[in-house]
Amino acid sequence: MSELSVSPPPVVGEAGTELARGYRRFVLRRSLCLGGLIAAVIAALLVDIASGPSFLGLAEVLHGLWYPEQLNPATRVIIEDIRLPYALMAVVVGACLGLAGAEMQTVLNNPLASPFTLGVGAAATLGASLVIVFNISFLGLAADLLLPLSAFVFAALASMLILLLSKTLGASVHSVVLFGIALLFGINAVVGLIQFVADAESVQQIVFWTMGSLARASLDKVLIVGLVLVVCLPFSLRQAWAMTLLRSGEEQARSLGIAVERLRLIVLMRVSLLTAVAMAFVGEIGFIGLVAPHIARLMLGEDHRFLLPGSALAGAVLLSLSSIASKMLIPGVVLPVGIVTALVGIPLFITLIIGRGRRSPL
Amino acid sequence: MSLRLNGVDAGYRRRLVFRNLTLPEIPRGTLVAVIGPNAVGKSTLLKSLAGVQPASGSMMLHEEPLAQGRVDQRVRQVGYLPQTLPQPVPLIAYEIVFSACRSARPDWSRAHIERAIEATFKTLGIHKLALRRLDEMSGGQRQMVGLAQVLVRRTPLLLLDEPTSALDLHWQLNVLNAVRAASDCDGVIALVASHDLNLSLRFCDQVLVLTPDGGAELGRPEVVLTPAMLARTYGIEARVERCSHGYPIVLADNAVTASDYF
Repeated sequence: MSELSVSPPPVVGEAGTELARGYRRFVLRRSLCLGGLIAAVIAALLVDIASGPSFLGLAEVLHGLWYPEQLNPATRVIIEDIRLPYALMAVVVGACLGLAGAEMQTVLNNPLASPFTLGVGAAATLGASLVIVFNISFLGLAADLLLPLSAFVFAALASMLILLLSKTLGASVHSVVLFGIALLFGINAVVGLIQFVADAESVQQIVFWTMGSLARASLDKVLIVGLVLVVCLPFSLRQAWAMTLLRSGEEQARSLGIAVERLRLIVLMRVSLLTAVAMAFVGEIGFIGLVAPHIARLMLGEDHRFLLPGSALAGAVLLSLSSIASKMLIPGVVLPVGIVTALVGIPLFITLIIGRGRRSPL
Repeated sequence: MSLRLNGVDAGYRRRLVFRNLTLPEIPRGTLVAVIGPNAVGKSTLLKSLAGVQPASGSMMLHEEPLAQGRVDQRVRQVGYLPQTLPQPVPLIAYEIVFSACRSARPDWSRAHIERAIEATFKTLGIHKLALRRLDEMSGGQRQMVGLAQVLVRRTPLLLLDEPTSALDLHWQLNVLNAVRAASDCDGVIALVASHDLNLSLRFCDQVLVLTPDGGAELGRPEVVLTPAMLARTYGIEARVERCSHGYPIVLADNAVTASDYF
């Protein structure tokens, strides 16, 4: 093989690596931004833990977390069974949706893509509704496990449908989004049908799911979602170079030996898993997966080594802030967090569409 | 080291563009201008060689099969510049060239990559673009960055699909000078598809003319490029003359009826 390789590049003197130094400074700035996002997650998490209808301040809560034995039983229940899982769930679910959104936007080359806007979330709802209503038991699996599993299967099917469409119709940015909206309506109709035949208790559960709420969070559910996130993130980062190159151009990526079709398939499977697991315990939470990647992109650019973790962090901050807002908007009442994200997300979504319209379409 | 094509079939599922394409051996250090009218298969040929489009037959670079080989081997041997420009995205130039190295040459150290990038940006004269975002560049500037993404890997075979389509005269010359230097100094074989006959003739050693009937002719420009050949392939009346520096130049006078050529 040695005969095939061309002579190594000429050695440039110390002054010659000036570009590399410039790039290092650039990377350093981004690392600092990423650090800033981590700090923001921690700050939002603490404020989230400290806010709620029962008047427990941050100092009190932190003290209670370090010395649980000194708390009276009622306060202990509030902190350990409500505040803490609630706040942690917001962080892990937000991170899952942020990561899923960034990956989806990259592989579909579509800035309007997200699990929510393309109907993947709705498909997860359908999968969950089927388990709730028909009380399906399969291979003796408990409902707690079967529900996320069924949500994942349906989310994956929706992803495949989107992939198939992009491939066969060479879909443009807007036609994929329109297809997603059609899918959303279709699935909502089916969920409506299921609600119609379901008994009152199941209907209540489905409604709870579609609203998106952190109220049923518990530490073991947080652990499951967190575990899926921790397992998915390294795989995402391993494909960061490939995704960065894909953003520079599909042909360019192909010419560098990247199997683009395979990359798309793997990434969309991961997106389905992240979406389904994130939504399995909190229901549908829209717009985090759409908005978080845009915030991360503004701060960190599109080098996916930074964009992917940055988008996960931005998602965590956003859902954490939404969770705080859901407790603050009406004093004494905790609104379902999905309602808050939708109220904040829709204006942002419209801004994105208008912004795209002004610039030249891809 | 040489490039040999023997009995190559290439094209799309329903329509073969080439059947049984065989070319004389192309030796080390040769810059080949690939010319021919629209839709004649210039891109198809380059894509097939690059392994991004299926093709059958024997394509050997120094006795090693090109397209059938392993992907990681292929990206070390072949630098392919697609016709489409890099997308206008917020990525900076340095990043996409850096990722290209990281992805195609996992064996290169960071210092080695940094030196290679530095040298490439210097050769192409795009130092000042290195830390600029692609979505703030002109089409021509993005084309230069795309070219850097290919040249930085220092592959022994370069396949450039219309590398100068978006460039002004200064940058056209810059690009072809860089490719010429790679051929002369490193013995790189370069196939450059282009519609700019005179620019190609100025720099190339050989011309590969692809004709609408699926034929191909490879040879020295003064041998291959004749008024009769231009009439047959492009459907034009043209003269081939010599400029004051002795390079052949094509002067197109008239288009013969276009209907036969699509």
